[in-house]
Amino acid sequence: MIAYTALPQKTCEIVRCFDMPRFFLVIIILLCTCVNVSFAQTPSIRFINENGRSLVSVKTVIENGVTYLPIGAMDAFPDLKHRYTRPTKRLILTLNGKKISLSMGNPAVEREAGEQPITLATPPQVINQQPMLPIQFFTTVLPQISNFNVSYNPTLQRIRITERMVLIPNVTPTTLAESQDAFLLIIDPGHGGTDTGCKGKTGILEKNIVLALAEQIEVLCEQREVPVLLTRKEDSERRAIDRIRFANRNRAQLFLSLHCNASPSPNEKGIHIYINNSSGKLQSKKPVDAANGMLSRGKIRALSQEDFLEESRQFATHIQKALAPFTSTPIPLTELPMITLSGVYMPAILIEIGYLSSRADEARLIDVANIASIATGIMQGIQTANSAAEAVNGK
Amino acid sequence: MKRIIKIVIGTSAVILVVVLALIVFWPKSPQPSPTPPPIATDIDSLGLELPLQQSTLFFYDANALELTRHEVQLRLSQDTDKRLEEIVKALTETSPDDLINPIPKGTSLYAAYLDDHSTAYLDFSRDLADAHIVGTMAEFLTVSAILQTVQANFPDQIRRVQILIEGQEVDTLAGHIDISKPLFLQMGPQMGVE
Repeated sequence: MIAYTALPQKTCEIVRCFDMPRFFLVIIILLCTCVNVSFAQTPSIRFINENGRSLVSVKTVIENGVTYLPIGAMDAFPDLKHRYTRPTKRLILTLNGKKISLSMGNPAVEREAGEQPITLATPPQVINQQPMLPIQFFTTVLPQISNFNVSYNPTLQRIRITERMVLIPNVTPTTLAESQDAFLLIIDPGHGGTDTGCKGKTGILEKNIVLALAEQIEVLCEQREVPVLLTRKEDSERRAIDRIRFANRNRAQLFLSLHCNASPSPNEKGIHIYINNSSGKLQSKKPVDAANGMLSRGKIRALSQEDFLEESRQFATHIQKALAPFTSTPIPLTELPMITLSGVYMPAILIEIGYLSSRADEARLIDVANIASIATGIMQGIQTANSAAEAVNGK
Repeated sequence: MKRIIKIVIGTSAVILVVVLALIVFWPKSPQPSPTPPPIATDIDSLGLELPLQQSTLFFYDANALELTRHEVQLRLSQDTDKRLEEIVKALTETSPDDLINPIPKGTSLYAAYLDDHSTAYLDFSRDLADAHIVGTMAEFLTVSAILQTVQANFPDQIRRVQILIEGQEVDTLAGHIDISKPLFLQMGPQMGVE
């Protein structure tokens, strides 16, 4: 009663006028609005795979400028098992039979005996009673213990996970190359199936021309007793990743990708050879990083196709010379970040055997005899390059 | 007793409403002195016609077999993001005589923006990939025309370009050149032709 009389006259009238249920309804609506506003402002990060498909989306927490992700984000990584023990605040991860563990508040990542320890710049933390991992854990630690490259794009709020082809500790290109004595060639006829590649004015398709050429080279290899494998032997669709896996599994000495070119101009014609180089004519990596090896961390070294850049150049140069008599135009040799070659861990080149946008080239590529000549030129270039390499290595 | 409870609850509710109102409407920081509103920093908002400015676009010269500069007069905003969008849009929509546009017809630019690391994001419609004529050279020309146009018009503001298709990073436009990562504007060395 005292409290009631102590209230100002106007407030008392307001309270009297309001019936209680309506009053509480207003309060609940106000509270909900505040809660909604706060949730709407919580940033989230989406994990996507190499095809851009969404894997997991998680709410993030930013503390002192560091972005933290919940442990549920690890569901984006296939085969990565995680178990968090709340009383000990310990997170154990298992991948491919290997274990690592982290303690909340401790920046050290504990690994199995004999493995290089990893220290995070900021430790994992319990935030709002949830174990949270700094984004650095995903971008730098997980690539070291898995076969995945992880790249974070803060502008798009996306983490892209791409499967890495090879991750072998302390293996150099030389030791890998020496692991197999016999020269093995892998021919990759581009496109296939519904992926027709480019199309000529007569309706001829790139996928069929390059398959015919691959078969010609295969015949020549068999005649010369050179082991050879084709990434596709029929008109079937094969994903780039499957071609790359096939090549790496077989550990060849050369990955030869065959394609036909196309240009907006009908005047452009001739053969063009490409090598994968992310610091080449279009740069997705600073040239200085290529020399330093951006991916080297600790004793684990992520292998890169560009480890074979020089060998690829050698093969390309020899094939360029061998093919010169079969074309009236100079054969350019261009280094670009090539998706078709970047995943294979061996010397790799891509030959565009002519422009289907050029009537002259199309006529040349329809001619079976001409395809046979190109096959002979390529084979000759490969063998010359291989002989030169063997002479250098003293085999 | 019941009345007292009602009064206590009512009072608490009033206090809560007052506190919430204070939180929501309390000014964030005191305004020491009213500053004059920015005058004409964004002339778009004033509804004035944008000034014509010379811009450089890159197209393919079918005779020289290379990308070539093409100067145009465009009405450009002052805001960098808007200007980037206007210039790249002009690249997708222009077809000068005697030159070929390596951007496939029907391609639209949905958005263009810069991040804090001088990386430009150019978000195109699916036509950029789907309507492409395929072939490494054609792909190279498309990507190069975009990069060179950005480089010519934003030499100091933009270092890298990330090409997006409908908001997503893609591996390639037509199966050959890796555009999954941002590409540096400084083009690499010209490879020798033998």
